[in-house]
Amino acid sequence: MKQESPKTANRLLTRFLRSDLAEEVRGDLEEKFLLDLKTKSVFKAKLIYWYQVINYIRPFAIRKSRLSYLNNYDMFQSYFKIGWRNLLHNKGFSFINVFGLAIGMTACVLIMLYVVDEMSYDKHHKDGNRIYRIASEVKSEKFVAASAPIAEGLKKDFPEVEQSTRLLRFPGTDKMVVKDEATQKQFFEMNGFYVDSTFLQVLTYDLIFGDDKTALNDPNSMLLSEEVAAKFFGNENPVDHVMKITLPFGDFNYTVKGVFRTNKKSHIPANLLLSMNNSDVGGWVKNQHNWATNNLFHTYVKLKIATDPIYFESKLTPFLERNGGQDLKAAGFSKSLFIQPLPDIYLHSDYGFEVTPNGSIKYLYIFFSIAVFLLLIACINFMNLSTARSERRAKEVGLRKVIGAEKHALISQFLTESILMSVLALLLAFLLIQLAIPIFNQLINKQLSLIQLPNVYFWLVGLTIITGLLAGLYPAFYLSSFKPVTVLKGKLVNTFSGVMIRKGLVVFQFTISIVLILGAILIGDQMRFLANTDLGFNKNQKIVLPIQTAEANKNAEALKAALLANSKVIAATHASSYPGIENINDMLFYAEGKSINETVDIIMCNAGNDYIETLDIELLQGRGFSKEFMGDSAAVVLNEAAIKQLGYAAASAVGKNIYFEWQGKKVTMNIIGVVKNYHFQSLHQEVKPMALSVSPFFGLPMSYLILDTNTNDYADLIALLEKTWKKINSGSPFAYSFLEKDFQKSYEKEELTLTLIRYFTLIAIVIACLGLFGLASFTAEQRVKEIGIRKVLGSSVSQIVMLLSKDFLKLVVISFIIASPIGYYVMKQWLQGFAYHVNVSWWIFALAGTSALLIALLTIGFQSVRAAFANPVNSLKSE
Amino acid sequence: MKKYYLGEFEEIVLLTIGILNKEAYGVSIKNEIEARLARDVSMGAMHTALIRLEDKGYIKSSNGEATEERAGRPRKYFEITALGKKAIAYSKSTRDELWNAIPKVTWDRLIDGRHKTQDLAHLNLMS
Repeated sequence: MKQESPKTANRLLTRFLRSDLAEEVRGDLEEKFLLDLKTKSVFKAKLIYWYQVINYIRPFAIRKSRLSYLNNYDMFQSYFKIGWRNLLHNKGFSFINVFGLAIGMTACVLIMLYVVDEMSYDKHHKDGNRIYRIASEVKSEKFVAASAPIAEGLKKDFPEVEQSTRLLRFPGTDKMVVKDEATQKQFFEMNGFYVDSTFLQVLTYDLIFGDDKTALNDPNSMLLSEEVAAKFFGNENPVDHVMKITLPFGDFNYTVKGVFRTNKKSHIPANLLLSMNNSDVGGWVKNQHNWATNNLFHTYVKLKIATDPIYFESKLTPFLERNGGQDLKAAGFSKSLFIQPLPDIYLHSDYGFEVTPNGSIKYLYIFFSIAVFLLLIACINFMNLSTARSERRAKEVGLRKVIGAEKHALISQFLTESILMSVLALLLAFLLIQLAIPIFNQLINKQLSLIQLPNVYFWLVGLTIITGLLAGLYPAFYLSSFKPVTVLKGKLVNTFSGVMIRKGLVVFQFTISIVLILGAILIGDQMRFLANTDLGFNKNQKIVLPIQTAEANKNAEALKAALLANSKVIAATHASSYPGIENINDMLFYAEGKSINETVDIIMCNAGNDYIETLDIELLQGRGFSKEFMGDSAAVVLNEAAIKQLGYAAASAVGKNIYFEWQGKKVTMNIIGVVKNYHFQSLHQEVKPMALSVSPFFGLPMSYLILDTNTNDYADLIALLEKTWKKINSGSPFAYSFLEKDFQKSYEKEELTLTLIRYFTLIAIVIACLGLFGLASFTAEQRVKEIGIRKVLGSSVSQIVMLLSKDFLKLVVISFIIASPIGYYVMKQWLQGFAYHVNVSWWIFALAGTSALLIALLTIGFQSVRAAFANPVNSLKSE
Repeated sequence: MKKYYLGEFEEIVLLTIGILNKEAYGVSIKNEIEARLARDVSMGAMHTALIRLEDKGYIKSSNGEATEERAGRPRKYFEITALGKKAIAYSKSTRDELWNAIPKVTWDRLIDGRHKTQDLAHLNLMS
């Protein structure tokens, strides 16, 4: 029997070999094979044949891709033309597709804009990955600042510390009045921070004017942000200009030594950087030698290259023990230190005494997933509609194949079409983005623009092509795999798997939508709960005036008396703090019969005599402060939480003493009253132990005047307040805020999330419904003959509507079943951020489920009813 | 100056075509090289060389008769062209020039070395 060369090898060879070489190569191989057969075994000869064939896989021998022989340009022109005609031919379908995709892209871009902006914080610092913030932990409470001597101690004790520096946000000076004597201009400025002279050596600031090497060298130097500088000096160079800063304890002169840019975001949103070596708080700062207390200094260190931060961190607590052991013992608590990498601070740090409230990585994840899911939903729509409509074009595909179109040609045709659509969507999205950005900015209270992201255009075009490909890939492969014979015979090409995939995608879309609906309802519910919970005090109609200049401080009592003369002002009180704002003053107390090692951390609020009445706090036992009792300077009013932790009973606590130790001396305070727990902090946190005191010992500045008012016309009342203020404090600017709004500020993140989720849920639903609408209309169209026959045979309209809607509603129900546990889990996670929260109850699911079902029903219903009402004659007359 | 460029393997193929005179085609060239030089030649590698040589114009091809052992496919015969002859002559002359330019002491040293150290034993192969 004659041996033949291996068939598989030959097939492989013809696959890749250039056709002009085929004859010769095959001939040579064949001859060689015969030759080998004479001397070697059949197996060996075949093996050699294989070896030779594989050896032909070389660039010279491999056939060029077929496409390169075709005139691509013409083909693509044709695809483009056909695609465009198809688009115009099915305006409704095209609109749904393009519009859905455009909305998806717009939403995605907007959210990404936000996400990228949030991620851009503190990425500009030189050697930023070697810079760390030193934070403290006392009694499992984390605090992002440290005691004063720690910065210098670190530099001294650790050779790996290249430089250390401190920033001080001095409590009670959140608003500073800055005045330029020459022009008499003065403004309240927020975010003025005291910094060490080494500050610019650690953190990077880009100076427009001044020299960052020397700017903070002299005492009483000051750097301005470009905005502040522009307010006072326009574009002029203000260096060496002397300005006056007004603080609660006096006016102080500072020399401007530089102006820094604010184009880079930072967790330190400074407007003013004042040198810590100064004549106002400077003296106090210099006297801070205690390693345990006054953890007010935000301490930053720059480590040397190749320092292991984890090892460095492990040495911190022993370092503290070594230097501050005495102080800690005297203070009666232990403290540990930990580090925070600078670039991570903004998104990952959410502890006590932040420089300003930070962003949150958790919310960023939520937003990012929403962005991705919205885009996915939009893409899914596209795929679903394209595949569903493929039957219509099945004949076209069949014909093309018969004429000679190859699979890859069809694939590129459909990809061209989908990319054409996605490019249209991109253009539309651009328009929508431009329109939506101002609204979005208002929502999130940021100033974002597309320009802010340098490669956003590149990014968007990439996104478009990916979306086009992603959206077109499945239909392209699906359509091009039709067998021309079956298709042209008119057989249904709706394969089982095709339908399943389409249904699966609908389920996916609705699952996401329902999860979003669940989230929106729950957050809304929680926000309502936050707004309606009895806080234990009355936050309504309270106006707060900051008393933060020396003049206003001096005239505080006179102002209070003058304002009380107004009948619309019911009560007024001075205080160092009020509910809703940060209060970092605390003291470690211990009860009778206990020692300094069994202390309770109690938050201190210095209050005027009328504090309890003005805020309408419920007094459970004893009395509040009063002018009539002279001994009140050593008296405290405690809340229930403090009483409980101290080990007293509310009923018998009045009259008992509590103690604290200060610089080695034991100080006694007498409990004169117990107030019901009230939420002086947001509902994120449990009510902590708190004490009200009028004692001047704590020396907390009474920075606020709180007014309880009764009016319907705030504009009028505030005008009156301002008039009175101006009469008494002619030299200080007037400012006010509403306590309720200040309190509500703690929920800014949640409110932002709620608004965004609401909008994006809406968008998700719209997109999903557009898809459902398209699918429903397509199904109705496809089954038009069936419906006609059913009607002829006596089906009622409602039966047909039922028939058409049933399938889709089933999908929505499945989605609901899948979405519920996911939603439940996500909601539970989110609620953990609150000490006080609503429960995830069944009605949330019921509401979400019904609304999803209703929306779907409405979407499908329109199509179904229209199909059901159609005259069967029209659908049956032609075939 | 790269007047003629011939790779090492191309040169071998070209020379072999010359040896085979009018009988040079794929399998015969391969067999000839394998027989004379005791080295394995894959068809693919040889074909690459043949195509390159033809592209450079050093050889030309003509179709021969169809034979049974080739399953009815014609043989493709190769011949050296005038240009090919020049190229190979050029190659030889440059080699000769270089060969002659090697000073005699080089060889002497190597031969001496052979006796003195075991380390140079592998040089045996060269002489």
